[in-house]
Amino acid sequence: MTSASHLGVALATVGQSSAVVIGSNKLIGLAFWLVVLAALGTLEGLSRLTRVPVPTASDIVARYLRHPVVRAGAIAVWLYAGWHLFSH
Amino acid sequence: MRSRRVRSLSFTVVILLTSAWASGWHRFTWGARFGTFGCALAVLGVAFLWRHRHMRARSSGGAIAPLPIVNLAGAAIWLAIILVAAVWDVLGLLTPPDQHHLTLSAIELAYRPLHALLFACWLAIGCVLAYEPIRRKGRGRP
Repeated sequence: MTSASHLGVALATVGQSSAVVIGSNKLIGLAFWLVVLAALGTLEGLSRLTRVPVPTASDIVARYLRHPVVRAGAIAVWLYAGWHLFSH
Repeated sequence: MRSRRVRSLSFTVVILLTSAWASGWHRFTWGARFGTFGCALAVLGVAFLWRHRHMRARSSGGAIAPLPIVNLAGAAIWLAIILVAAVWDVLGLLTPPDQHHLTLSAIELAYRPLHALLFACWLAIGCVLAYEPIRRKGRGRP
C-alpha cells in the first residue's frame, strides 16, 4: 500500500467517525426534544383528562401572565422564538 | 358548546395542516419570514377575536371570569421541564463546531416532522397567549 492510499484510508476513517458523532448527536438531540415535548403534552393531557392536580397551560397563562404588560412581553418572546426557530 | 368544540377542532386541523406545509419552508428566505409572521398574525387575530366574543358574552351575563386556582406543585413541574429544556438548549451551543448542535433550532432543522410539530406547538402557544383573558389585580377570585 502506498503512502497516498494510507492517507486516503486515514482520511476516510476520520470522516466516518466524524459522521458517526454527528449522527449520534442528532439522535441524542432528537430524543431529548421529543421527550420534552412528550412530557409537556403528558402534563397537558393529565390536567385536562384526569383529576391529577396539574394546571393546564391555559391556567398558568391566565394566572401568572394576567398583567397586560407581562402578557405583551410573553407575546414578544413568543414572536422572537418563531423568528429564531423558523425564519432566521 | 358543540359549536365551540367544532370551532376548536377545525382550528386544530388548520394549524396541523399549516404546520405540515410550513415545514417545507427554507430558513433565511422571504417565504419563511412572511409565512411565519403571517401565521403568527392570523393566530393572534383569531384568538383575540374569540377572546373578545367570549368576554362580551360573559359580561352580558354579568359574570366576571374567575382566576383559575393553580396547584403550585403542578406549576413547578411545568417550570422544571421548561428550565431543563432551556439549560440544555444553552449548553447545546457549546457543542464543538465539527459536531451536530443539540439545540432545538439545529435539531428541528434536521428533522422535518419535528419542524412541523414544533411549528404547531408554537402556533398553539400563541393562541393560548392571545386567547386567555387579561385580568387586572383585584378582579376575580384570588
